[in-house]
Amino acid sequence: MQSGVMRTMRMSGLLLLAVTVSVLLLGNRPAVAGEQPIAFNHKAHVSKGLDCAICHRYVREQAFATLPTLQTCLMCHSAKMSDNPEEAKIREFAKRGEALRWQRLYALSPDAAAYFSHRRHVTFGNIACATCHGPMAERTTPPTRALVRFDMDFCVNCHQQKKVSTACVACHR
Amino acid sequence: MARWGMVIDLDRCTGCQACVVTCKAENNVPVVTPREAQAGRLMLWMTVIPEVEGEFPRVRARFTPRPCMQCDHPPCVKVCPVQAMTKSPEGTVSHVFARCIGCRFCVQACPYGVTYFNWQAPTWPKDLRESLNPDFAIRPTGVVEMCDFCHHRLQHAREEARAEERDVRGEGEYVPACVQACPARALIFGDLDDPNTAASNLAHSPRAFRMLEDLGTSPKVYYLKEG
Repeated sequence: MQSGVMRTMRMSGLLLLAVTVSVLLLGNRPAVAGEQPIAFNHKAHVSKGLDCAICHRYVREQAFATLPTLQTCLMCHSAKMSDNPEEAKIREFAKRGEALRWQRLYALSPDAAAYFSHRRHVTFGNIACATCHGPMAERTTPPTRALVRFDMDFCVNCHQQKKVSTACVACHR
Repeated sequence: MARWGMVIDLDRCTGCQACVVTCKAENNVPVVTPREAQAGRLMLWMTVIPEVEGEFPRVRARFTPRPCMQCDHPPCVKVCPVQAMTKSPEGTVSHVFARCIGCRFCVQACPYGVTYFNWQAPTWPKDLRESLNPDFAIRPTGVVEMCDFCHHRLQHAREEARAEERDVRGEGEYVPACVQACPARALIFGDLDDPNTAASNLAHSPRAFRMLEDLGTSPKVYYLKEG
């Protein structure tokens, strides 16, 4: 009888250890590609009249559009706005003092060795975000991969149509 | 359209090699071991060629900074079978690493020896690796690389100019890193077609000459004779 209790205790101890180890291991692991810290709903925000540049702050002024920080979310969401559990996550992140680690879906390959500037395309070229980013504004859940697949042909086709430079060194470096 | 060129005043150069160091850092040029350097695999997009005359104490040193000559008729562009070496409409000669097949025709064709082949994957000591320039690509093994008048700086300058709806100014706005770093102001950079820039004035001075001018490559790097 006693040995049975001991065995159960030992088993539960092992189980606890296993759970602790797995939590420690998994907890520190970055999210799987395409899995975002918050299931952000683009459509809900855009339909309320929010501009892309409110969260992607430098899209008109700099080369990098940038992904929003927790502070950007807290500008509106520091107090409860809805019953959405995803919204509550924002304040949980803030309580833990943890930064939002968005998974970047769009990035130029380092092998491409190309220079891309958002300012040049959005501000000077008047190109809509959807041209390269697809129907992002319609999305209610975060996509797991880029909605538009762009390679060099994609860039060059547009450059030819708009009659802008297609010289190699206009983009490559 | 601007035609970018450089004037190097040999009277002013003190041989301090600030341009050489700056170029290495700006363009992520790999560092090689002394043994490889002895085998002729040292990579210096900008280098200072020393010439020592006489014997101590009557000794005199001459220094000749040597970037890519950025020829108007570049032999490297002519021989490149895949158009990886390109001359832009503004006259700067650049190399697109992603296109290069590593045939090294350009290395043979260049009379100035300014093109370098990557015999191995680029390496840097730890401290340097942490401070690589994110503005410039890192070249893989098996491609050629060379000075392109810091073309990435022109890309930035062009964008700033575009924001103000004008052309890039002929002087001061876009300069390669070596020109910016020269403490003796021996390197002068600007638009050679704009008569108001110091570079175009000096390029027409009687002191001006170009390296191996008789080859017909018409470099856009001018030297000013000493004295």
